Amino acid sequence: MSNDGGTADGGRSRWPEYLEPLRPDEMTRHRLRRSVLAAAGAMMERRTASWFEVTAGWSSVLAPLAAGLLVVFGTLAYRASALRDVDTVAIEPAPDPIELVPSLAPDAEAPPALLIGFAEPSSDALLAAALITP
Amino acid sequence: MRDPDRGADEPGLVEVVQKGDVQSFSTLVARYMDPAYAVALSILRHEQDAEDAVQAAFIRALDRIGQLRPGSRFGPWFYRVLRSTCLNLRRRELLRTHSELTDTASSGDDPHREYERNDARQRVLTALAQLPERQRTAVMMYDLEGYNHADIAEILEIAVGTSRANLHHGRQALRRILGASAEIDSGRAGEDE
Repeated sequence: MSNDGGTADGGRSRWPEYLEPLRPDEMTRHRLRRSVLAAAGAMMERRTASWFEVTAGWSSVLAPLAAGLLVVFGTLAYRASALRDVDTVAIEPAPDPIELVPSLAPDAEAPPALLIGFAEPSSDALLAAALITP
Repeated sequence: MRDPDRGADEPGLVEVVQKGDVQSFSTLVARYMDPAYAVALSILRHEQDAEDAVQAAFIRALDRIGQLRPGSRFGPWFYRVLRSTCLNLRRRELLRTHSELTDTASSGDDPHREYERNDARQRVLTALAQLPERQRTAVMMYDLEGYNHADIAEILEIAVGTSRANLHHGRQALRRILGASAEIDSGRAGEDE
């Protein structure tokens, strides 16, 4: 027999005669049954009520917390997106060195020879060229 | 007398009770009320305390019925809850200290009949109390709770033959104490012994 698999049959139809005096009388049986079922009903109601109370309790605690978190994360997200817009130009990768442009460009697109200066271009010219280049 | 079909629906009943059905629980209460009362009375030897213990045990069982595995029988588990409740009640000294079975709740019956019943009850309880623990346990488990010898042997971790011997000697002692006229073996005699 497993722990819960016994064969006790509490509701046997016949008791050993010598144990009959231990049987509750009708009045006791009625009283006991009534009190057990009343207590059982009350316990079930309490259990249901407590479930609602727990749910309601958690909701009332979590709702302001959730609202606060929403505000905080909303603000952070807004600020992050604003910063990204401002920093776009600043963090743009530097253009390739100007010396590479002629070597990489196909011959047809090669700039006129006159425009190619042999002198080192100024930094302003480089920045202007970088901004104009799509 | 054991009716093998009784209790066959118990796993189903337990499952429904686990879902919160009080009506099905009342079926279990009706089924186990009498033997539970007798077991409690044999341990506590006081009617009001036995009532309190039975009520507490049923409520405790309902509270913890979720612990029963699917397909389990209610009876063996409930008797463990009941015994534990009775022992706790006795241990915590919640019991009144007055003499046993004197201040019992009135049943509303004829006083003479009530006196006779209390007298008979007292004699049986006294007789049971005189038995050695192992014999009393065997008698209660076999004759009241409905276990067979294989179950008793497994629960008490003894041999099946020992369980049979305990029951035999227990009944013999009860017969001797209660008088030769008592039909000790009338319950499940010859059935499993």
